[in-house]
Amino acid sequence: MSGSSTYDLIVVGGGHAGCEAAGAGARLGLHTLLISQDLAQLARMSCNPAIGGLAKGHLVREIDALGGIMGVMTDKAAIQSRMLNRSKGAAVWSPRAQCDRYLYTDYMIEVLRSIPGLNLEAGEVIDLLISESTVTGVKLRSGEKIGAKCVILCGGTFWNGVIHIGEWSTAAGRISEPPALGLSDRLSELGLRRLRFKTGTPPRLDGKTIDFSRMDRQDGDADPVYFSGSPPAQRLPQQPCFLTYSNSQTHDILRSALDRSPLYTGRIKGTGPRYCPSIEDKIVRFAQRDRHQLFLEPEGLTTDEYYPNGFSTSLPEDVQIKALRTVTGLEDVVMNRPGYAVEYDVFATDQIYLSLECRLIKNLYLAGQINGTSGYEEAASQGLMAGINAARSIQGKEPIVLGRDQAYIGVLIDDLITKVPEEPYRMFTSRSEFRLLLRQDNAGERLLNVSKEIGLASPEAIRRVEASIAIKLGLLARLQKTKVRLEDESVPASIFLRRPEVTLNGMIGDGILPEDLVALLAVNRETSFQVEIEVKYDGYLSRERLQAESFRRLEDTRIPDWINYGAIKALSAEAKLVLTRTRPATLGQAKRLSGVRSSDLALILVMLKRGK
Amino acid sequence: MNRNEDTIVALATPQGRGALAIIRLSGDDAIAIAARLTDAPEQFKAKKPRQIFLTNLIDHDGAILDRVQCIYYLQPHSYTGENAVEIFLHGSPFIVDQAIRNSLRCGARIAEPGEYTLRAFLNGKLDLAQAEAVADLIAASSQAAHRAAIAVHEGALSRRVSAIRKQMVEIRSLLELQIDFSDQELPVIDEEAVKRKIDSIIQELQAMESAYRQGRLARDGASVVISGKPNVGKSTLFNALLKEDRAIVHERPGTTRDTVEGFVEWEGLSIRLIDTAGQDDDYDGPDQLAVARARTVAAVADVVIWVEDATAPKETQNTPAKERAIIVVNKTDLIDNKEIRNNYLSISAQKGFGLPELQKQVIERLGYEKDILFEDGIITRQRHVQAVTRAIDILEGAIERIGIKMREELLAADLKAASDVLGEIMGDVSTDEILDHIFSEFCIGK
Repeated sequence: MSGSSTYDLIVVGGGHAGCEAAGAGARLGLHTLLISQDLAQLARMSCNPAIGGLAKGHLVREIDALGGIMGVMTDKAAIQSRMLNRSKGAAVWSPRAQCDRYLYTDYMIEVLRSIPGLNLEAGEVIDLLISESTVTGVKLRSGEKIGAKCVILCGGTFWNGVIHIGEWSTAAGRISEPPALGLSDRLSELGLRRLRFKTGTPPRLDGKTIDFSRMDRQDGDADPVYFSGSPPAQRLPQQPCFLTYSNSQTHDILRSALDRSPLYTGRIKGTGPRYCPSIEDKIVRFAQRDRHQLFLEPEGLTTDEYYPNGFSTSLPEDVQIKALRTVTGLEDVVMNRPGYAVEYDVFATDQIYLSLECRLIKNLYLAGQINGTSGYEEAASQGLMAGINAARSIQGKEPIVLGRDQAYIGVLIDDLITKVPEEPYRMFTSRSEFRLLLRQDNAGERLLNVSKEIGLASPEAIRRVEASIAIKLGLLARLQKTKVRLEDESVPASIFLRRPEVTLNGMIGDGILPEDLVALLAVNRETSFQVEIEVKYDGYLSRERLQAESFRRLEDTRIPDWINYGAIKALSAEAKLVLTRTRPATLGQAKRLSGVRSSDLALILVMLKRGK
Repeated sequence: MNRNEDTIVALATPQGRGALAIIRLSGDDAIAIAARLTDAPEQFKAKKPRQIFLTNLIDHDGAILDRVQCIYYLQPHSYTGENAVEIFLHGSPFIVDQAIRNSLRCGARIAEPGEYTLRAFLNGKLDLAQAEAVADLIAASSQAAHRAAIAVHEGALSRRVSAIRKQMVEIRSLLELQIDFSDQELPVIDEEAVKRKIDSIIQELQAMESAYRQGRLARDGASVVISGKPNVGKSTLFNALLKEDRAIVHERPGTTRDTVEGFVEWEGLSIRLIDTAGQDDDYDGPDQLAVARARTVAAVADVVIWVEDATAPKETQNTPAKERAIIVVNKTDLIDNKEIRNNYLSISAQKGFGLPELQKQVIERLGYEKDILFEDGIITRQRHVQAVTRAIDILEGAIERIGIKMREELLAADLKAASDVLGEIMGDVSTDEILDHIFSEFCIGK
């Protein structure tokens, strides 16, 4: 090794994936180096200044349950907390927090600097040191070589990034930040398949020039649900968001400029997300809609900048400002910087294992947007798992792979490997087969055992979860024993609570529960909430548990290495290709591969039964 | 390592002597092996696939064994999706046996039960419901059974279930939109419309469920038990309906002890006729056991024919079997006056009076609809109807809960569960057990 120094782990990239990866690796005892182009931009929120939200909130709670950083940071930097989907059942409630984007980065730097064994270094990694298909370190643009036992790549949108605004484009990872060149090409030369994705972001607006009085104000919850089990003692001052709408005039302006859109003139080749279309895309695809919602999010406490969610665009700057000024409340708006689209390289995820380690190059892990995902939470989830698994690999332990029936993080990584994303991948609750079991409120309980095995979560956090489970069981037992007197009969409170119109709060309000039980419920508010869910949804939860068990049976049927899919003539050509490429570890995973039909699966099953 | 590449051989026609016998070979080497069985191997190159040609089968010593017709198929254009050959021989057990032995010598192996269909399934030529239908097709003993099996084999059931599942996916996507994109401006979900859609799915499933009775009748046929007091002429009626002298008839009461069975086909339906011992509560010993058996058989029958004797005094006592039976009064040829029990069907088993009318009543009682369209996807299997019934239960529960308050996530869970259950019909959620169960039903050669 010609390097001047050596680490256990080098993390390349300081976004949400990189910060979790480096934090986890170092806290699990690895001598770790985090290299980022600009250390002042660590864990930057490149797009909207919010963390969590539908399905993503679940991911953050799971990250927290496993001892990751994101939940704690979000609670500290939150300037508005809100539980989404409250009008629906508790299984699909999802917490979201608007954050002060600058404080978020500051807090992250502070936390990372406080972790022993973690070094931060500014620099650009342009190459990997590889020996015998094993990564041994990285090479910086400066020429410096640094050795490492494991390397985690978290390139975000920087790999061969190109930004588009109208007819203008430039090589960049984020606006006014240079792209990362070299690494993507090197992986491609090594034989990894890459794709080109695209994402976009709206312009940023000067709040001093916005007439908020003409918009609908939206405040957060007075009594927030935190992501972390150990929320901060004090909340930051809370800020409102605002709702306004585009109109036909806005749409006319946008439509008349489509011939200058890089999306429609074919300049952009990358695939963008269907669920998060640009405003020009929306007016073309939903021409019948006469308005689209704009959600204005504050960027922080020390800035007047606002983020107009719903107005992502790569139209020319003059069109952006002209269109914005037709929107109610934005008549005099000043744009701090324009919206843009960015194209970047991603690597097909059937080339990594469920541990996120690269199949082709040992000890090399890929995490975050380079795996085709979108979103801070999706990136952080992968960063955390990559950091954990790199540490376990060095320490000679089996990798941690979360099941689809265990965590949204499990769903995320399994989806990536079994269905290579064709557009930036975002988490949705509908991606989970076990949505009622994988709730945001029970992340700690679901992941308690695996979290103990990983060893990142603090002993206090583990004790808190264990205590909460004990309290929950106690409360459930009390509700079964406590009788509620109805008109002509008396039934256990737990049976009464199952009625659709009955709530725990309602029962307390009606004074039909004994005082000491009411006091117990009041002290353990979040646990009481879980108790209510488990009682009310008992039938559904039982059914889903049964489904999860039968799912487990396929999941636990391992496919041995001797299987040679190429030699199984009867497999469909598509199945042969995808099975050979992905080499699913279990029958369950094989079943989820797109292109594998039930007859292909049955064939594998027969092969397994018949043996070699 | 892959046994599926083996070439298998089996007799596709029934064992024993016949005008013709068919041997089938399937697998990679099917054509090569077949060629080595003949005295003109080059024919298999000269002739096109699916073209029938004459050739000589030779024995291992080179002597001509039989003059046969041959046809070969190239994969994937065969029943199994593999290379395949069919040889039409003369139906001599000796020739067949020699031909199969010779093909084993050339590298083929005997097919396991159900292996042809298993291979067709594994090669994606059949889905699970279709594969089951093959077993039914082979076992089809009546015209109706054949029609039902053909319809399932052609994929009618799979198509119908797929269409229902597609409707469920459509509703689910509406719900998922409300759950996963609730932070965006969405159209309000029309609860009534959702309810109507689910209702119509339930109705469709219920139609399938009730048609199962037709499907089951067509597949399994029906059992018709002849019951009554001793010596009322049950066995005479049995023989008359069967049109052969099967049961022993004697004037001594209690001649029939064990149940006697025979098959007839009425209106295209396979009917298992069962003659039972006469029921007399005063019997003891083996006769008493015979009565018990007769009652048990009657209890599980699809239809019971309760026979009374026109020459005997009117019966007053009702037995459970009698209550749900078609009551016929036999031996009406032996009495003159026509005042006999006019509520009941008068017959004479001896003379054959009233028997066509009795057949008609049995068919009516079975509720068999002769003109049912099996092409619409009728379910003929217990496994299928169980899935349909479970899906109905789940969806009815869902409708009930919408009535109280619609919860998108619970409704979505119900629709997913119902859809998964229906998917089992096509083997979408194929498990070891289902496959094992199904393929064990096939006989060699299919």
